[in-house]
Amino acid sequence: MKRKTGKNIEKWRLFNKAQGGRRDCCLGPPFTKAQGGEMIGLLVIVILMVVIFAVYIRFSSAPDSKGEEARVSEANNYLVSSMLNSNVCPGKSLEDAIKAWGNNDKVCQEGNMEQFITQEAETMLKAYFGARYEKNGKHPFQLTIKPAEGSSNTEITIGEKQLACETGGIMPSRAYSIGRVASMQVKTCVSLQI
Amino acid sequence: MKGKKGFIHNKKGVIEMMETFMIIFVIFILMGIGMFFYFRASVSESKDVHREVCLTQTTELISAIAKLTDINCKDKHPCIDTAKLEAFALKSPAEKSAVLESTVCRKNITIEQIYPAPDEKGSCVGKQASPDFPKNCNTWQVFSVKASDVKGKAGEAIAIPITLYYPTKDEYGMGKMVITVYTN
Repeated sequence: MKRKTGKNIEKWRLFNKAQGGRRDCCLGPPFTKAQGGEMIGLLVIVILMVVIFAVYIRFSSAPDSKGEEARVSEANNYLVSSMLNSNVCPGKSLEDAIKAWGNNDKVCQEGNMEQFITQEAETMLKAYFGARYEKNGKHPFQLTIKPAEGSSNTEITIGEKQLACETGGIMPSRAYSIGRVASMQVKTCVSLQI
Repeated sequence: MKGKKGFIHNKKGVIEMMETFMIIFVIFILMGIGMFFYFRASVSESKDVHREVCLTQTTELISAIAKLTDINCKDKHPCIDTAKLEAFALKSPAEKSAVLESTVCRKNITIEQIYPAPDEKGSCVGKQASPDFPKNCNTWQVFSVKASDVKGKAGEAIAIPITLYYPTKDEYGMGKMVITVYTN
């Protein structure tokens, strides 16, 4: 912007007059008062939009769910571990029963080990999940006991064969190896354990 | 701009002034609405942060309790020895607070027996010697806050499975640790 002295001041006056401004108003920039007001209005609107956008960005970010996932993962690991440790008959745990099943052996004076293991595991899961065990004919979890490769036993699955969760994802426990004859793992809907 | 008859006689000036006041008024209203929503979101966010901190602390506490030498089993994990648990449950609140109290949020910790299914419900404290144990009871209150401290606060229960060891029978059962966290 040129300094408004000497010859320039007359040019400013003529320019301002041509733009519809007041005659005595020539010491400011080459805008009329009306134009200046419009520009300030525009600036205010832009500033407001920037502020609103910044607030939106600040609060629109998704909440961190890592804490919940860690808790569900730990709960699933504890669930498998607790089930394996529990006694299914005096002196024998579920882990002992699965080992016997894997080795085509028998414990707890049970004839059908597969049926016995399924029944006891189901009882434990029902006791733990309570009312959440089954909803509308669907189970929000899957427990699998896989025999080792080459075994004549078939896989035991309790809960959903194909687990699908209405909300949230699926969280698996780690696969617990049982005496190299089988492994046990549970998968639950994240929402079930929260 | 003094006129002959009144203080202001320039109609255009009056209109422009009114326009300016109206714009300032609208801007203030917009700023007020913006501040209202900002503070509301801010309060809501701080509550969420508080809840998240409580729940994270609880997750850490679950691991800590499972490893607590005062109550855990020697050879299995996660496992709680019911005889040790009874002794711990009988400790004074001050002694338990030193181990379990959190500065961020208050909580109740209960251990429930679920497998084998108990025949009776109620506290297991003092029932270990009974021949019917562990079927004659189902809970151990590990830690509890005063009801007056959590009056009107919403409780959020977190349950985690745990192995229970019954030394009088030398058997293991399944239980769940229920932590009720008072977040708000």
